[in-house]
Amino acid sequence: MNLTDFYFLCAFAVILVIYYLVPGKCQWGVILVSSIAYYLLSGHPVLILYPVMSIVICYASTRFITENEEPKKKKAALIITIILLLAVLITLKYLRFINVSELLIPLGLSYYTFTLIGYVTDVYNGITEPQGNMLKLLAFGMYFPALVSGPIMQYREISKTFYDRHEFDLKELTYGFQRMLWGFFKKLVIADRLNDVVSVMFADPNTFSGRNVFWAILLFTIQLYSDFSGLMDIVLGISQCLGITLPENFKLPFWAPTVSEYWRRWHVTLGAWFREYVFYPVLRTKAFAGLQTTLKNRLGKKSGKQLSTFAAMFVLWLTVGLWHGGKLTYVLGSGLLHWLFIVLEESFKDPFARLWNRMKVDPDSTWLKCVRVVRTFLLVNLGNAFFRSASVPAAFKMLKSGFRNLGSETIMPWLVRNLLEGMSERGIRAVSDSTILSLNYIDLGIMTFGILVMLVISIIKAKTGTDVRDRIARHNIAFRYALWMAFLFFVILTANYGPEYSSAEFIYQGF
Amino acid sequence: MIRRKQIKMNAKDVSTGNKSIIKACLGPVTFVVIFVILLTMITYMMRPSGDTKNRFMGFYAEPRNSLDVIMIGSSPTYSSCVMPELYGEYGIKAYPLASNVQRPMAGKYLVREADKTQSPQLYMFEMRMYTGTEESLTINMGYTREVTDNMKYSFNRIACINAMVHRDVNSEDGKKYTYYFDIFKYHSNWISLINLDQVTSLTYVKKDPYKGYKITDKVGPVDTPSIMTDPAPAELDPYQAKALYDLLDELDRQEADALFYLAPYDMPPEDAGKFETIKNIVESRGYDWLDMNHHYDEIGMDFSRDFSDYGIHTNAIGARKCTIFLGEYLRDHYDLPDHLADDAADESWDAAYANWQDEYEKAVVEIDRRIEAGDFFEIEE
Repeated sequence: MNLTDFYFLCAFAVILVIYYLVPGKCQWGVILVSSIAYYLLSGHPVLILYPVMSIVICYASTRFITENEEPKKKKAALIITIILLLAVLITLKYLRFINVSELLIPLGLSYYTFTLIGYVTDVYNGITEPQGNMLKLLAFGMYFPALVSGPIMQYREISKTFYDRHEFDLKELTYGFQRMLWGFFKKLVIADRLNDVVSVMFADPNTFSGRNVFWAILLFTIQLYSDFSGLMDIVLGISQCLGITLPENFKLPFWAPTVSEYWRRWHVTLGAWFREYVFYPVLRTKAFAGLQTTLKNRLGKKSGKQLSTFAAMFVLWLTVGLWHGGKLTYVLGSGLLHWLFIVLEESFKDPFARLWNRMKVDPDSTWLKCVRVVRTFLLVNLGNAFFRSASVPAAFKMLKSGFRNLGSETIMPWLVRNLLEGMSERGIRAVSDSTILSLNYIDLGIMTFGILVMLVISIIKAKTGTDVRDRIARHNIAFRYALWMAFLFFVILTANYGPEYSSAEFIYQGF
Repeated sequence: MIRRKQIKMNAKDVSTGNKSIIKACLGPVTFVVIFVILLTMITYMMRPSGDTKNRFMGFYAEPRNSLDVIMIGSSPTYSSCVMPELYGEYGIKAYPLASNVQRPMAGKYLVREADKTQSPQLYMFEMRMYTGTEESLTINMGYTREVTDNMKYSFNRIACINAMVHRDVNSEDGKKYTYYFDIFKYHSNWISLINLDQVTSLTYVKKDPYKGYKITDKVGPVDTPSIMTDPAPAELDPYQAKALYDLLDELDRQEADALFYLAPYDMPPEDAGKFETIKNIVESRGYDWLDMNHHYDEIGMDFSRDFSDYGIHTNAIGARKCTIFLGEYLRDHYDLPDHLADDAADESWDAAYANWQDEYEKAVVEIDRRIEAGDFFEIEE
């Protein structure tokens, strides 16, 4: 069952009614039952044993940690728990890479594993109190909206309000629905249409050369963003309807001036998790401390520290790449290439600062900020070229073909010309019947319009820092209703769903 | 005194609280109501245009209790009987609630649909599809959708979907909810709104200038079929048998009069036995049976000229002959009103008849030209 399924939405409506009808202290029970039902209906029912067993292990482990006084035993409990959780994760992920049936892999494996590792580690470190009720822990670990694709939740944050009584709040409910609608728009109107184009272009990149290659990569980047952030909007919208606040996973990533900043804005909870539970622990290991001392002695304090940090970052980015999948395309595209970009950014930071100083250029000037944003966006696109390609050689071949035939005509002017010709000669009906890259011209028009809307909204958000929903809410009721109604019908009419379509799976559902 | 004041104040608080709750809910409720109304209208507009949509909208547009006969069945219903002719020559207002390859299971629900706004003196059921197997009738879910997706939203429509989209249906056309909410199927059809006809279908009420009849001037000749005179009864597909019994029960419940009939066609020999079974069932329940295939001479059927597609559907000439036969039959066997004798003119029916006469003249010329030129109907592969 997908979060965009009609049946899911019907079930959610029922859940909402029950959720606000039961006494506040039972609301988490509604979430638990819903989560179990969701899990059972979404895949092979037996697979529910994986998350349940993982949660039981974590429950037992955290009890042992809190009840035991001996640090060694506590540490051993932590390590054994993490090894057990990771063993299941790695084994099942490894099985996936050698094409063992998807049926064997439990839903949301990575997400609940990471959430639980974070929880046990926090209990061990004394940052959070362990949950004394196993069923409550089950409700948290299997929380149905976030189960499949995150965001990765931190128990210490979520638990503050998760088990509280959530009073019915019309504003929160309305905002939740509005956010869900925005997510449907991104996923079903934009991402699924882009998927049609991107799939065709990446399936046979030899057919498309010159600048078309770069169009394909750019469109994939937009697809990835609209797909994943759309899903997050739905997840966060659902949670808001339930009165639960989840962490944001996207903070205008394409406005980031550096790649490291980009990763603080893209899949925020994953980045934070890796920093907290991989990067810093790695830095604190004896091996790295030793390496840092050696490098400091040989290269000086600053360079030595920087180099050892780069080494720890290598481990971090390798792990991030591996998390996305065992293929080298993922390891490079979402891992090591980004490490390289960050290393280069850090290494050239001072030389560039000196250069700007010498050239009397204000390093905080708007145009320089724009250049940085564009540069970061292009670097992210380069990574995505590898991420989406069938193989690393295929990605290189594609990029080479793009640069070699850079002067050749791109599809865009060709599309526009055909569109105009079609409109003048045969009318809109004929235009809608003509297809290019498996989309007709009307679809291309909708897709372009959708991307522009998404861009405008992100500009407003970046410039003002306010929630667009708040801005709309300030207007009178007639305007608000007309606007939301128009948007609702725009999504209903232009989204890819129903018997004529097979909606593409959420990309990050696979990770 | 103080206590009374407190009670008064508490009552005032409760009243204010209730008011604020009502006020808070009023907005969202209004939003939802407007959404439902708009969604219904937009769905009606998005439903694919065509003769079936026009036919159903035309039915809903007929004034309440104005129809004498309602005809239910598949394509022969609207291709072999010219409703404007039946009105113009015999004063009978008949209207078909028919669709292409209409599954018999729809019959009962279309009777109920008709009963909402009309009190016909006679129901007529064209029975050709009752010999089909459920598998053949559900191979294309368009046969179901032409009924369900042309009915207005109602509980009867839901019941009709429940009956027609059953577990045994091998549907590649989506899940059941896409039948309840057909916007799921047709939402991408919004481009058709450039057609004004689609926009004006927002209430699903629009007069059909042909009163449900579908004219064709195509020709597909076929040898005159030989009709089995006394076939042995053959078993019906269990689904069609159930549909027939359900329909008969519904007619009994409504105490309605009904004529079960067969329009002329090149009948496969294996169907004759099934029709014999149907005839026996229908007559045993006290309803009439008419097989027009036993009246070729009276009708004046000319299989080399009167069919549009090789013995399946009649063209304009064949349809007129069938209509005259049916008109005479209805006049002789049923006490139906003659609206031609009414004082009040019915403009839309008069216009339909005049329109039909014009079109018929043109169709005759075209049919003769086609026969002369050997320009016969091409069956799509």
